Amino acid sequence: MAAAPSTTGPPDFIGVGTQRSGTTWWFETLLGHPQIKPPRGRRKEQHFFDRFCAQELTDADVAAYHARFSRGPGQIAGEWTPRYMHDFWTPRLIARAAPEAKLLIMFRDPIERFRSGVPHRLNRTAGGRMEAVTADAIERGRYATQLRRMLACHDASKLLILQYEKCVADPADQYRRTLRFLGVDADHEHDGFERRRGTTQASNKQPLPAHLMDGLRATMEPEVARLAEMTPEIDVGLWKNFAHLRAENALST
Amino acid sequence: MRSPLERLRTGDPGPPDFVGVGALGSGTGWWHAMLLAHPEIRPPRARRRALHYFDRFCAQELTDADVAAYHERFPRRRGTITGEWTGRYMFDAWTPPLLHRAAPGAKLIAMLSDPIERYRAIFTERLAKRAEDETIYMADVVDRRSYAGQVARLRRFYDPERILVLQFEQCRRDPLTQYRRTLEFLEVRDRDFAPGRLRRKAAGKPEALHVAVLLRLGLAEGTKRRLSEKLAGRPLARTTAPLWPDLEAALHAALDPEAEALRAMVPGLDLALWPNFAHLSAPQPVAA
Repeated sequence: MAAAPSTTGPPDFIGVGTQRSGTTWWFETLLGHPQIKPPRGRRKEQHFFDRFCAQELTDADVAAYHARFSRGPGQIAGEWTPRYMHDFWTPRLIARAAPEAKLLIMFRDPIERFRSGVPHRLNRTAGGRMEAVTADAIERGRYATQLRRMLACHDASKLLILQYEKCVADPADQYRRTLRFLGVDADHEHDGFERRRGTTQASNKQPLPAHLMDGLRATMEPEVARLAEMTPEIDVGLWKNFAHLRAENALST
Repeated sequence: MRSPLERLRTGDPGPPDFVGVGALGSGTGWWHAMLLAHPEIRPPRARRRALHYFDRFCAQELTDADVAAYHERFPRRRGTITGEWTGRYMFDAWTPPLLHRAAPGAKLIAMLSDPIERYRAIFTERLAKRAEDETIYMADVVDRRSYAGQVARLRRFYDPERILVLQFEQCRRDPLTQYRRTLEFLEVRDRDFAPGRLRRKAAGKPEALHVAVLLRLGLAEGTKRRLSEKLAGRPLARTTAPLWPDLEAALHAALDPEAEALRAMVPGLDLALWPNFAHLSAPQPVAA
């Protein structure tokens, strides 16, 4: 029997955020579905658009991006690069290179994300100056700002907002939700949601100095409050560092 | 430990009276130098402008000894005030709470410039410096130029009355008015004073001869620029690499809302002076 012909073309879905939020686990979980295919080389993070802050994206570049995604009949293919949402030039380029792609974002308590992101970056940045690494990790937690940039060039109906804490609490439910959004068989039984994690930083987490917590809250509270307004699917009560914002909202309504 | 003689000469240390907190590359060195020309305003010890004192506290506690060591940098005699100006303080989330602990009575100054002009300058620099095949990232530049969130964060730790937001382009266009405004904010006694270099600029006098000569010398670009700027008493115009439509549109999508939010917080901000944001400066309807 001949193998079914596979086709290449723009990805059907792209995960665009956020770093240190369980995206590797969720992407691997999705790849357990028979209709969902990874990019060529099985590399979750293509980082394709990173360099286009320094040069123009040409039609040949777009074609090269499409060539990375092949799938058989009835299948879909996609990638997940968490920095796409943070890189201000990327949302527009995605709209050009993959205008029909569905976009996934996984959000996690931004202070927990920060606590995981700083040791992650320090491990990978040779000679990285501590303050630059810390400042970058804080900026990546400005979720509402980044989401607003995404929505400036993508329709909200193309976006699925996932919350890491919900995925951990009820993975089967959030898995089905993701499958329905992607338009594949949502009745597929997953063979277990064991955590196939990227790199864990649990052992590197240190308590943060009190003033740093103050600075983080001052930066992120307005962002989390705006995010909650923009996306009713985010339950701020699940974010232990921001649960008080939900209480305040409840009081004011 | 300073000798009693030195203490007598330079005065007693204490928290700074003012701290410049931003923004990187927006003419802050020029303006701080102009302030230090005032007879009532003194530099930190060793005349360093940007102390970067709080940078390392992104990962460690600030102790009382650290606070005392910061105060040691600011000796002043009776009748004078003193302060530093570190452009990244406003950007670093951990610094406003520390500053408030170490210098709760200080007045804060932020000098801001057209965020996209600055982006072009940094892009040009990074392109020139990059090794072959090296990837450069520009996300941090937009993060740093997102001024509205940074000013809002400062206001969570300092009363808005204690924060002066200056616009570089306004200072360049009308230096004497903006200089006086800064002196009034700092509450020095002599508010009629202005440095000769500012008066010269305001009078529209040409570049001094030594500046013109330096510009013609074959000195290394950076050295020439720094020397020329020092002598001219102001930053000089730069040539920049061109951007392309996709990138320009992305910059505006990221920074237009920031500029508008900033204007809502800082009523004196004139977006017409920022060439890349002048389109946002349509006259606002005046309430009857």
